[in-house]
Amino acid sequence: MEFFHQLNMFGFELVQIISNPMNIVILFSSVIMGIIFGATPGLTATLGVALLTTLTYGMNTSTAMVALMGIYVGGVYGGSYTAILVNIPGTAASAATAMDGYPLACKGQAGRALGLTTTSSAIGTFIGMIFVVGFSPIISRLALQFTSFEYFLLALFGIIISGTLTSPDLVYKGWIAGFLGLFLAMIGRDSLRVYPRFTMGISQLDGGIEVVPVLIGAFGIPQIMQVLRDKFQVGNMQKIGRILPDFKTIGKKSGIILRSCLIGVGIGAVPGIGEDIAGWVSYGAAKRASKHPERFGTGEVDAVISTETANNACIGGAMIPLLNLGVPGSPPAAMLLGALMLHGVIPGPMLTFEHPEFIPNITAILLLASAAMWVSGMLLAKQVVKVLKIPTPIFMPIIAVLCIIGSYSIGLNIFNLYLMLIVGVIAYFLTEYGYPIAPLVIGVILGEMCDTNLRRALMVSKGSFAPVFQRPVALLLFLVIVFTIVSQIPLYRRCTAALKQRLMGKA
Amino acid sequence: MIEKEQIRKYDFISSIVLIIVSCIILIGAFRMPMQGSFAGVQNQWYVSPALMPLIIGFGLLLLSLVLLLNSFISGGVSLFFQDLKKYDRSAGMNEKTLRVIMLVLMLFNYIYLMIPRVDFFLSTSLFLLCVVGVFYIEHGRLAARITSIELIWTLVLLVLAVSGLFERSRYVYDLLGMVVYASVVWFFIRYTADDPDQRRRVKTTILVALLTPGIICPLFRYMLLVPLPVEGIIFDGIFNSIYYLVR
Repeated sequence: MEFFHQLNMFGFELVQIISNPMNIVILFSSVIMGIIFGATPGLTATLGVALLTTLTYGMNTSTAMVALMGIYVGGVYGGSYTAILVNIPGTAASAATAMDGYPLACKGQAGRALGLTTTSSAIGTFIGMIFVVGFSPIISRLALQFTSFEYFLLALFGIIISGTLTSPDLVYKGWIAGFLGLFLAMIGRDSLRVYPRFTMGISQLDGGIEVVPVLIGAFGIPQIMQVLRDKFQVGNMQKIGRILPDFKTIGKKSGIILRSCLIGVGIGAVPGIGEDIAGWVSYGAAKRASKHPERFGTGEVDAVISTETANNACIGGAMIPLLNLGVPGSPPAAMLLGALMLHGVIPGPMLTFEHPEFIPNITAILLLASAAMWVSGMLLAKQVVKVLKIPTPIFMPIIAVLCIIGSYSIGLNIFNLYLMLIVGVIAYFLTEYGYPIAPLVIGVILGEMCDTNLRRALMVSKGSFAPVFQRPVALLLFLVIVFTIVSQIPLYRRCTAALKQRLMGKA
Repeated sequence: MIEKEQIRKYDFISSIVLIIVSCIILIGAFRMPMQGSFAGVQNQWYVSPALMPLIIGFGLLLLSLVLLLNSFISGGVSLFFQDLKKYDRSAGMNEKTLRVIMLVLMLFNYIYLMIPRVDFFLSTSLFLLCVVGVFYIEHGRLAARITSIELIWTLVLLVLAVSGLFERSRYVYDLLGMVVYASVVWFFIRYTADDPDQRRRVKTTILVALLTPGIICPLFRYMLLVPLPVEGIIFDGIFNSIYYLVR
């Protein structure tokens, strides 16, 4: 019964969005902008969402979501353009696509590869959307049973797992980044006792740090600095040719598409890790399952389909914890959370009660965004690629100006700009020294949730940690966190390896 | 990201910085009320505002120490001291570092000094003129000149900001900014006079520097109703006049 009610609301929202021509114009513009952001090496979907957030400030929430989801979907898909045409992934999410996309382009099949990635990305987004509809009521109902201990552990789990899986160097560098993010979230007056923490007497810090400028600084400034420092320029592109959807191949590869969707949604639903990991895991799974794994890396169609389906399915996956628990599933989703807060929407289990139309609205937008992405990809790919020819020393300073005016326009506060530059420069050095930025951002976003819920939980239990061991979900989360940390200790690894060897020896 | 071997060397520096940061967090946390009364409310350790900062401080300290230890074991520390001994001051900085420093200087000047004082259109245009000029035109001597102008302009703004001189004079900063703008354009023309390709790049740079704020400023001011940080001699004199005349 509830499913039909949801379906009814979904249909209503869909019709309402379509019936407003302005929404369609905004949808297509934001999707194309997302594709450009995704395709431009150095710019990401996260930065696209961040910059557009500042422009949606004056819009109503539904129209703002059309724009933000459009740029998110377009941004994740757009990375495949440069991955296929120049062998440089536009975003980390399409790094795995470059492995076989570029060899396909070298064989003169760039148009076919782009057609396949466009169609599989659209299917991935669409299936991800189905998961949002299907799982949201279940997760939401489950989350209603959560107490403060569960929320504290969930936030901590998000930071730890994000640090573990996104670190390009040592795992604990990811945790350090997470702790730094948590520290940034502590700045300002605390919500329970209104005590000023780390404000250094600066009155602008009393209300805490503004999330959106910090995120713009963390994602935008290091990218601008890196591209201008390295004099990066997109090289010669392969000829595109005719872009065809190739439904026949897509039909034949339905098994791969389904598996990649499941991987994408699953990884997206894990807090803090994003589309790039989904792409690589799906690539690995496709290679393992293939009858011809030796063909991977030489222009295998299965590889291109699997990575692009998974990274776009990840969007739906990332929306599930975001909407139902208030925990972002990926870095662009973290940005989206900032945007939602700006529009007065607080995601979490109460969302379905406070804004019952919100989740059907988001799913309807996801469906329309995947359709808009497919149409734009099929018709405008050649035109979009021309934008990539703009020299980066011209493009990047313009992005810098957009970051600055965007950060300022939120709160009309010049202090936000000071903060943005400091965070940006710190993020640049962290990136250079092998610290991931995603856990830092997740830490900033979840810091408040972590702090308030820990103290509230201890207040209820009068300082006892016993409820962690008495409540099944809390215990499960606690064990997963402990295991994640312990599994990274060399002594544990040596012990498990020795145990495995001994067991193998006995067998 | 830097190469793996080099990273171990930098791990030593970053771990020291992180240890200092975690000590600052812990000192700050220990100064917060743990127990007793604060603002008329009886405090318990578990509701203290210091609880989470203490967890963060100790966590960060522990992880930084592990990083430091790893840097010792993997030879990062010895590599750091070896490189320090070999360091040749006469060799100067490498080009990439120089580019980063130039960009940070320009961003610092734009955000901390120009935006709060100079007309937003002018400051944005000047920022773009300098950044695009240095990184797009790629003329060694011209880049050096622009950096010198940027440095002098930063110092002038710093002195004026600290002294508080002209804080109330509405257009003085704008007029100074226009002088800097004119001198940058003059250097562009002077240094690229003989090279048609460079001249084309100069034209593009000036066009970008004028068009970008020319689109962004009215978009934010009139469509998104965002008042610009400073609406000075150009925005007030030209844009606002035209807008209110047309409206």
